[in-house]
Amino acid sequence: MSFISIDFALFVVAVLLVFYVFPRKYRWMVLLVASYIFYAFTGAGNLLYILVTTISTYICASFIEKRTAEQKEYLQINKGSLTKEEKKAYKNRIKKKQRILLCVGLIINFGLLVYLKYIDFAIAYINLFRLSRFGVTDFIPFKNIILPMGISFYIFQSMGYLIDIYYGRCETEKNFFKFALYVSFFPQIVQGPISRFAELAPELYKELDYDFFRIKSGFYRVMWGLFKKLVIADRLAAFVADTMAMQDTYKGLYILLAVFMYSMQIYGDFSGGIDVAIGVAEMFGVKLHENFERPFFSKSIAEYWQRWHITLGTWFKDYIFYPLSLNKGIIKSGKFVREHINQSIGKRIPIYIPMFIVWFTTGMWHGSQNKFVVWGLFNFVFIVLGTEFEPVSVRIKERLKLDESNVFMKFYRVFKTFWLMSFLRIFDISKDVPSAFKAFRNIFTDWSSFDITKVYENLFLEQQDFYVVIIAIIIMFAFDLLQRKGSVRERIFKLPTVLQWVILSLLITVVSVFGYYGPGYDAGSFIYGAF
Amino acid sequence: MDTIIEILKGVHPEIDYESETGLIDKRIFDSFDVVNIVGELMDEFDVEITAEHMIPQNFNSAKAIYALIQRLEEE
Amino acid sequence: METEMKTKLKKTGIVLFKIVVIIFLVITLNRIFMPKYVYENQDGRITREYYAQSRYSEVIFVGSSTVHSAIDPLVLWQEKGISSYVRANASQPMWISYYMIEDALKCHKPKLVCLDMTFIKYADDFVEEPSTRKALDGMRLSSSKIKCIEASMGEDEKMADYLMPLFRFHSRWKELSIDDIKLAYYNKPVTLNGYLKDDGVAPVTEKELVYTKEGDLQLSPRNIEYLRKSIELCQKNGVEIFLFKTPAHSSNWSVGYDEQIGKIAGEYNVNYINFDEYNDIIGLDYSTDTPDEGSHLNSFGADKFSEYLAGYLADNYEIKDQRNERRFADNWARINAQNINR
Repeated sequence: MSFISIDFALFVVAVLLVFYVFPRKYRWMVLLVASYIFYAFTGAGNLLYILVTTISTYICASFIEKRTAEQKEYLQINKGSLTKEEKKAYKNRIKKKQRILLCVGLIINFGLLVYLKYIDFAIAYINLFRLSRFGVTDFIPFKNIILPMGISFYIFQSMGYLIDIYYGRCETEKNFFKFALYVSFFPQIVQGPISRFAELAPELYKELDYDFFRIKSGFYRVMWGLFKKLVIADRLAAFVADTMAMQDTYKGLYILLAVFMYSMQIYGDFSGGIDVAIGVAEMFGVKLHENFERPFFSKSIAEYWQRWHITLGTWFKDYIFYPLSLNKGIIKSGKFVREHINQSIGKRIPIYIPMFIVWFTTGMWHGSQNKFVVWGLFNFVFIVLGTEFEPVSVRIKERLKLDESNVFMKFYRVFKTFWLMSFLRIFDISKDVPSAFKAFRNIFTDWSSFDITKVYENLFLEQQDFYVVIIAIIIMFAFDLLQRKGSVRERIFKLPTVLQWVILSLLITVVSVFGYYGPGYDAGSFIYGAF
Repeated sequence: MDTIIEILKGVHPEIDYESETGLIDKRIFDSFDVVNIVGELMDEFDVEITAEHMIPQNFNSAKAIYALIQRLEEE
Repeated sequence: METEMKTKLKKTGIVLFKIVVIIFLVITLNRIFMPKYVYENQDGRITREYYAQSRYSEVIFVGSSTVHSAIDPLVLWQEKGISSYVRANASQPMWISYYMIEDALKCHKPKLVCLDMTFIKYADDFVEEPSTRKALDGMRLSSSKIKCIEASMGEDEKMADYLMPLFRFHSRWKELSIDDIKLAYYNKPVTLNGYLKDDGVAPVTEKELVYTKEGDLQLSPRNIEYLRKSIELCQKNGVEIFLFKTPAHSSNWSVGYDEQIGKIAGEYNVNYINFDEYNDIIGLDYSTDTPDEGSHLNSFGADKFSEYLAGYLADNYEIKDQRNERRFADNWARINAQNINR
C-alpha cells in the first residue's frame, strides 16, 4: 500500500473513524493494530523482522534498566559504608554488564540490517577479490534480498531508544505493546522521520479529545505534501532519468537542467512524503519531528545538513558522532597528538575522525553502492574544507570589505551551497562513480547546442509540463519562505471561512488535475476503432 | 560560571550568554562547537563528560552547562 | 430552548450546504475533464442518453458497434410503431451487455431485450479500456455499474478511476478547451436513441460471404456464462429476450458459434437468428451498404435491416404498435424533429 494511493487514503479514513470511536484510553491500541495491518500489506513476512527488532530491543532495554535499579538500590543501602573508589568500581561493574546488553541489542539489529542491506555488496567484493587474486570464476551468487519496507528507519529509531536507555536519558516503556507502537507507528515507518522515544512516546500514548481541527490541519499538510510529490517530483522523474541516460546526445545545459531538476525532484519527493507522514500523524494527534527546514536556503554545507533530513542528521550526531568524539581513546589520542606532535592537528582529531566515520556510514546508509560511499566522503571533504578555510574567507571578506549580512552575499552563499549539493547528487542519479564523473565533465561541454524544444520533444518533459513544474517550484519556495515567519497553515486558519474553502478547493483541484499520475490520456485511442 | 562564559565566548563571542537559553535549539552551536567546548570544559574542570550527557538540555544555556559541571563534580 | 433548536438547525443547514457545494464542485470537475464525445467518438454518449428515453424504450438492443450502426430506432417506429433504444458500444463485451440489461431493468422495464452475439466470439480477457470507458462513464451510479466496472477492469485499472473520472482524465488539462466547460452539462441528444448514422461507403472486395473459421471453435466459458446470466435475468423479470447476430460481411465467424448459441437458446426456449443468413431477403448489398468493407452497415444498410427487423419483431413478439399512443407519438415526433435538425 503506497503512501500516495487511494488505498492508503481509505485506510487512513477507516483508521481515523475507528480511532475516534474508541474510548480515549484504548486509542493507542487502534494505532498499533492499524500499524501492523499497514505493515502486513508490505508483505506478511516482514512482520517477522519488525517483531525481532521490537522484542530484542524491549528485552535488552528492560534488562539494562533493571541493572540501573539494582545499582540505585545497592548504593542506597550501602550509602555510608562505601568509599568513593568502591562506589566507582561498583558502578563500573554495572556499566560493563549494561554495555554487554547494549551490544547484544545493537548486534542483533544492526547485524540484521547490515546483512539484509549489504550482503550483495559484500559478495560482489568477495567475488572480485577471488577473481583478481586467484582467478576464481565460479562466483558466489547474489542473495537479491528485497529489503523489508522502512527497516532502516525503525531499526535506527529502536536503537536510538536502546542507547538512550543505556545512558539513562529516559525510562523504558514497560508495556510491550505500547513499545511495539513506538517502533511501528505507520505514518513514519515508510520513510521517517526518525523519532526519539522521549519525544514521540508522550505523543503516542496521550489521551486526546476529538477535535476536527486536527484532522483539518493534518489534511492541509497532506495535500501540500501531495502537491510537492505529485505535481513536481513525479513530473520530473522521467526527464531526469532519461537526460542522464542520454548524455551522449544531450550534454552541457541539458545535464545542468537535469541536475537542477533532480534537486527539485528529490526535495519534492522526500519532503512531500514527510509532509504526508506528519500530516497523517497530526490527524491522530501525534506531533512528529520536522525533517526539513528550507534546506535549499542554507548558507553552507554544514548548515544544509542541519536542515535536510534533520532526524537522520541528529541521529548520526547523537548516536555516532558524539559517542565517538567523546570516546576516551579518541580524546586521549587527540591530547597525545596535541602535546607531542602538533597542537592544531590534535585539536581536530576528536572531530574529524568521528565525522569521517559518520559520513562513511551516511553514504552506506543511502545505498549499498560505491557511489554512495564516494558521495558521503565528498560531503565530508567539503565540510572539512569549509571549516578549514573559514578563517581565510573571513580574512578575504574583511579585505574586500564585504558585509556578511548583505543580501547579495547571502544570496551568493545560498547559491553556492545549492549548486554544490546539487552537483554531489550527480552520484545519486548516475549508474556508478565513473559515470558520475563523466556526467560532471559533460556539464561543461557543448553549451551552445542547448535547445529547449528538444527537452519538450525528446526528453519527456512537454512544454506545458515544463511550465507547470516551474510555476509549482516557485509556489513551493514561496510557501517555504512564508513558512519562515511562522506556520502558513495557522495564518490560513485565521482567514474568513469562505477564503479557507477557496484555498482548500484550489489545493485539492491543483493536486488532482496537475498531479502527475495515472496512465495519461491519449485521445487517439479513444477514437472509434474497427468495432 | 565566569570561566564557562569565557570558554563559550572563545567559540562565539557575539552571543549574550547571560540571557541566551537556546544555544542548541536555535542552532547557535553546531556539533563542532559543542565538541570543542566539551573538550575545554573537561580540561578546565577535570570532569568526565560522556555521550550520555550530550542532550540539548545540558547545553542550551551557560546556566545549564554550569549545572552540568556541578553535577559532575559532585559525583 | 427554541433558540438552541434554531442554532442547531442553522448549524445543520450550513453543514448540508457545504456538502452540497462540495458534491457540486466534484461533479463539475469530473464533467469538465471527461471527454465530451459530442463532436467525435459519439458512441460515448449512447449510455448517458438512454436514461432520458428509458420510459419509451419497450425494446432495447444490446451489443457492440455492429448494432448501433445497423439498427435505426426511428425506422422501427415509423414502420411498426416499435419504441426502442440501442444500448450498444464499440467493443462491448458480453459482461458489459449483461450489466446494461441489469441497469435498464432498474430504470424502466422493457418488453423485449434483443441481445447481439457478434462479440461472443472474443476471449475471456478481452478488454479495451477506451471502449469500457465510453460504455460506462455515462452509466448511472448503481450496484450494476460497480459490478460492471469490476467485471471489465484491466489489470492496471482502478475502481476509483471509474468512480472519479477526474483521476483518469486529469491529464486532459493540456488539451482542455472552452467547449469542455460549455459541454460539461450538455444534455441534448447526440445519437438517435443510440443509433449512429454512417453515410460512408466502402464496398467489400469478396462478393461471397464465407466463414473462414473452423466449425467447432469453442466459445469462452466466461462469455457463455454471461449469455446464460443475461437470459436468466430477463426471464426472471418476465422480459422476453431475443438473441441475434447483426448482419455483416465479415468472414470472422463460425457456424460452430451458431450451433453453440443455438443450443443454449434452445435450453431456455428463446429464439436465436444469425441475420447473415437473411441477406437476400433483407436485400443487403455489400457493394453499397457498408462503410468499412463489410464490418458494419452504413445508413443504407441500416435502413434495410431496420425495416426487416421491425417486421420480424412485430410478427414474433407481442409488442404493441404505439403510434396511436399520445405520449409515445409526441416523444417520437420530438426525436424526429431533432433528427432532421441534425
